[in-house]
Amino acid sequence: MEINTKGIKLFRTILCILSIKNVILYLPYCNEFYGKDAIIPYDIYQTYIDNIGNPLLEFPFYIDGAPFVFMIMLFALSIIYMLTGNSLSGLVLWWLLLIGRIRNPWISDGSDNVIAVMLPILCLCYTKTIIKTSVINTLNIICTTYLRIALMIQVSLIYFISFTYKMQGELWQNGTALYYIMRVNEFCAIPLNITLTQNHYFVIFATYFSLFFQICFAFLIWFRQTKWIVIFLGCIFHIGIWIFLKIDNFSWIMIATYAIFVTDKEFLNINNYLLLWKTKLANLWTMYDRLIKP
Amino acid sequence: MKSPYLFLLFKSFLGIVIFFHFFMIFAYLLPDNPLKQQYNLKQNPYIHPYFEQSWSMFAPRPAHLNLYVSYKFKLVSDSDTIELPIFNATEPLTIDKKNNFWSPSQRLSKWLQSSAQNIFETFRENTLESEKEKLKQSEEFNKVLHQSLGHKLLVNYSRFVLKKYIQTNNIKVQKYKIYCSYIITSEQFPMFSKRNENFYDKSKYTYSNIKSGYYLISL
Repeated sequence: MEINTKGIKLFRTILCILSIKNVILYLPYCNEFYGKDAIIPYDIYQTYIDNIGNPLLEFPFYIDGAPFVFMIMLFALSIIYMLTGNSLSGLVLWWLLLIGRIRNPWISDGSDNVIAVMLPILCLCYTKTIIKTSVINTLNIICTTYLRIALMIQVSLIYFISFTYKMQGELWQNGTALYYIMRVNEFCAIPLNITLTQNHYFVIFATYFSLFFQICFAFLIWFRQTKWIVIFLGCIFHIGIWIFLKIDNFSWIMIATYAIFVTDKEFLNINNYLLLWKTKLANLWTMYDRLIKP
Repeated sequence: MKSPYLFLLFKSFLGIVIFFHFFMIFAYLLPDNPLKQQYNLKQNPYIHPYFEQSWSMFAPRPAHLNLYVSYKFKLVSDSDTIELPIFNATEPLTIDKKNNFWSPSQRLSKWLQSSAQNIFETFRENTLESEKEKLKQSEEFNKVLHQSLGHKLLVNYSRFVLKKYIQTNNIKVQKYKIYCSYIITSEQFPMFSKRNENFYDKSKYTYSNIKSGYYLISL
């Protein structure tokens, strides 16, 4: 049975790198984000936990230094999970991220959302090399194959649901939504946004392209013939979001999810193709070098 | 049990679990519809909080105005009352976010925007269009404000703003009772039909404010 683990490993690595980056960036603000006197009062978190009725979701943030310990735990688990792919570390990492999201939901962004929904599936995937055929190993292969499909469904669902919500909006329907998004202070990353949005062709094309891409992705990613086209469009779409709206983590994690759709055989082909180009470029360089030197 | 049957059973089990998982998520995520209301799928305990997700980014109505949160502080003692200058809490975060490739201000700014947005939404949901302007002036307005989580968060955030001011200006406030009030200013830039007007000319913008009453806070 074919098992595709390279994409899962690559996605796991990028996910963990983003998690590590977040920890490093927010560590000096851990008390403001999660502590006893955080920007969200502790009693709101407490009430929420009481309503859910799961004490395992309660982290003692009220103790001095607890937010720091929380961040260090996130950091350590991200590294362990990235390097080992150990399911338990992945599961604990997901649980801690869930606690963080409950403690302060309004600081989490789209990338945290993606991580939170992908991680519980991802951490159950078996990505170690299987040498010996045994019942347990076969079960692991079956499990990983099915979970990879589950991850793919989840990514498609993100685009499909996003499309359905956008289609209800008047500004999306009349093709002017991007004009407002690109000009709002929060997302107006570069002055070029203003110049670009003065052009109505750009605004309308870009708005409809966003809608078209999102609905296409949900369905066309499943076919071999169209997969690479939607992946290419997806990269353009998310790089655009990153440059023009400065939504970085979300763009990177979404591009990283595309790795799950690529099979090991395709990774090998890409690798061979890149090696071929490397050789061609090296040959060209040698030729150039000979021509230049007397 | 022979292996092929075991594998088949395992595959069926995984298939059922994955189908159930995504069926529940799909039902939860779909836009409001009669079935969702009938079965109360929005409050699904399977989804909350473990698999909670929201993909309504910029939808259905995308961000279309700038929201600024400002604070006013009054320091009151038995002998005197000091009014501090108005602090714009949004502006420094926006500048920091624009000037730095990576900055925690990104999250703080999002948090502040969400709090202000929440107040706006509570205000919109609880008030008829014709009553809005009248209500802004009235006592009832504070009651509407109190219903929102955003209000609680903005009052809480005022402590951080004031602490920073006190630290930088080395002011002693121990003998004072501190009252804070916040102002949410919505700034609407010209509509799409006026896209060629000078974007940087703020006189073309329209503004509206929501002002809260004064609330006692402690540092």
